[in-house]
Amino acid sequence: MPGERVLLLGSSGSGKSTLVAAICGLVPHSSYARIGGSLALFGMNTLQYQPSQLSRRAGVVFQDPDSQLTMLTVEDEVAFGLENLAVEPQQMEQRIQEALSAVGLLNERGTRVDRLSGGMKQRLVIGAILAMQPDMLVLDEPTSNLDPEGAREVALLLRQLTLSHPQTTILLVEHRLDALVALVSRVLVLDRNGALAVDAATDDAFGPLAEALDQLDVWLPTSTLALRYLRLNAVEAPPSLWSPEHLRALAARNAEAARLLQLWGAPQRSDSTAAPARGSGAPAVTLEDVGFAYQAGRPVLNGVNLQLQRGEMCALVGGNGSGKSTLAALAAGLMRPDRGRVLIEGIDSRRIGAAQIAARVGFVFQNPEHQFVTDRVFDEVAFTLRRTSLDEAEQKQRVERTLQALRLDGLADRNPFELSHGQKRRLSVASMLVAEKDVLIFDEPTFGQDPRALDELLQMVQGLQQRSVAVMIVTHDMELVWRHADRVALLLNGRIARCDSPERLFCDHELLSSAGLELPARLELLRELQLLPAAVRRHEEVR
Amino acid sequence: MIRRGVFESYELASPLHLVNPAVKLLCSVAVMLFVSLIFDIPTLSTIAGWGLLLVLGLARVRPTVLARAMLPFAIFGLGFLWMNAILPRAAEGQAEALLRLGPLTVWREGLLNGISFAIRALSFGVYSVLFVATTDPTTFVLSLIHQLRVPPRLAYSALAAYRYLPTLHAELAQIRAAHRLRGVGETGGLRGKLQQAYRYTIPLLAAALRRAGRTANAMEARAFTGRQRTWYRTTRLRAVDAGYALLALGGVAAIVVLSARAGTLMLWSGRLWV
Repeated sequence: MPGERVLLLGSSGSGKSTLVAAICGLVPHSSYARIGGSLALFGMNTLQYQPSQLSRRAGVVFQDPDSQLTMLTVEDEVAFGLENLAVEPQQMEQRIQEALSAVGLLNERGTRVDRLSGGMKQRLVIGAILAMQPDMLVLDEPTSNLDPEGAREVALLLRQLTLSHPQTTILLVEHRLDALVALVSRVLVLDRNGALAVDAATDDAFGPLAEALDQLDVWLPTSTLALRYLRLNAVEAPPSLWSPEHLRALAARNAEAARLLQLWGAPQRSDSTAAPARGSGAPAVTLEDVGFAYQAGRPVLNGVNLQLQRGEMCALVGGNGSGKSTLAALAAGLMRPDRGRVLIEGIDSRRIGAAQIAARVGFVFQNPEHQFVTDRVFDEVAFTLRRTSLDEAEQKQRVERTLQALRLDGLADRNPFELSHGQKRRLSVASMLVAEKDVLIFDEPTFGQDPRALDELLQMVQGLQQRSVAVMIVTHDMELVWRHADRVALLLNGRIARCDSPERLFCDHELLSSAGLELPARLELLRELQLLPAAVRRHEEVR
Repeated sequence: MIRRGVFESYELASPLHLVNPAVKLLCSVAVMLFVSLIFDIPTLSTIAGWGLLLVLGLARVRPTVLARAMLPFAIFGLGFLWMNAILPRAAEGQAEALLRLGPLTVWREGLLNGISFAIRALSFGVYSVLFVATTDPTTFVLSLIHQLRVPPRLAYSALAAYRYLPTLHAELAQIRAAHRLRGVGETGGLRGKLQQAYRYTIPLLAAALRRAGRTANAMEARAFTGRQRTWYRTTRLRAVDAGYALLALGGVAAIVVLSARAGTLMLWSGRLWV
């Protein structure tokens, strides 16, 4: 309906993006597809109109800001859409100004696009679409490629837009829900086969229907998760009262609910099982006073000291461009430090050959395609074992077992590049897990994962910890850090500003905000409910 | 302070920044074609010197930036020089040996040839810098469309591709690191190199194709068809463009005429060497 704000959910591969492409006419006009049924946008059948015509009514914002920007400067980018609509050049000036001020980029008019941050780029895309004055705004995961700060900027902008453009229809595909759920009045959910499984008001969808949504493997708002936990623990509360305000009222009434919420918000690390392995023996990786620069005079890292213990899970956090990936690459022996030294299992990384490093260190890259080296899924995993002492039968068995564990057993003969994104990610993990490594580093493991796939991955990581593997996770996902990391290292201005337990790190609000990081979603909710755990509160008071 | 190399110099200002890019391009290309037909060292070096004067005076390119940009051309030129100097190509009996270094002999004709090739390479460099260092890519694309009648679809695709060049390099570095960590050694030998190139190409190509598809989709979703569009900025031909063409081409023409009068000019006579 015109003016309505709708959230579209679905697990990966359920066809959300295909639906978006169909709405703006890219399916079937720009890609081959077999079509059944019909889709009408403001009464226009998308089969009969070209995407360029449909885009006058519905503007689409895609996931990756970089590939959506076509011009080199901010104002040219906004002008591009207006030129395509054949707007008179005299009118453009005003429309560019309006659009840029709506997205807060008026001061950046002449700035080169590649010098903007991720959040600014995505705001620019939204501004460029707004300038075209569409009746409907389609947003396909607009924050999922952004760091927490960028995501916050975009969420704030969308909240402002619903006020300043009340008549604009919005269709939002998103899984970071907490900041955006207040915007939408209706929720649609696609099931794994791409059929519409749920069509309900927001309050119903995340309240009484939350169980059904969970079955469909979609992300839920944190407050819904909290309420489900309470109900599982026999606290009497109607499922429809899932909003933070209701939860606060409930906690104020019911001391047991308050106690349970605090329990739910606490980290759920399996301390008892991992404890014996942790801290025993020499550290797996040691960085001593490490410095590194890509360009002389502009160091990315400057005097980093960090130890990675066997059996622990250490999270590495920091804003975009803080040098997290560089540090991870150094710790993995992929690069050599300019200054200081990196010891892997006690040996200086300068003195270990590539083959030895590969035998000890595993690294799961953000883009799984980068690490594929064969043409077959089975060979891809077997490749890791080819230089081990295992005999052929044993290798085959190990590979099959690993493929099964990662739900890839039916795909052994496929080409890795043909798999879906989620499958590719699981394959890249499989090829690292099949051999026994001493150190395993994950670069942004949560990126584009469904809740279930992420849970499976984390369970596997916990299994590794018990086998005394040192795990390091480079991530923006504070919830993951809070719930699973033993330690967090925060990288700021080229140094480890702090390396501590998540409980203590997340008390230091000053440090968090100067690093552009946010609280874990659970902690944020507890703070909203004024239920922060005593330990956290005490630290806050001391500060 | 952002360090500006030759590809970022377009953000600075100079008289040449005001000239229509299409005119600048055509002038530079014309001079380069002409330079290919001239063979004597005095004329070639004067033309190169004229270009240098324009680069430093009119385009206001900083000498350090120019030096760095010229490096590949200089290496190329020196290669030519060396190759020609030791190859006794003028072997019809009149070859004159200048210097003998063990098995190597430097021949006079070869050396002269080599020097003229080297200067030619340098003037190609100078006239390229003249264009590149003073031209905003967006304005260039606009002038391609408005003055040279290149179809907008083609011109805008070129612009989109230009934006991706830097990311391609970063991506290759990542793929190499990823492969190294999987224990794929960087093997020598032609076979190993070919296999390696194949392994790197597939992910690079896959990523590039996907990104190109995404960009094309995004452009279409912003109503881009290449037809019936208006222009926020247009590039026109103005007096300053004619002035530049006159200066650049006229200067070269004057050099050639003077050189012909002085009897030093040697034009292409159907042979690749003097």
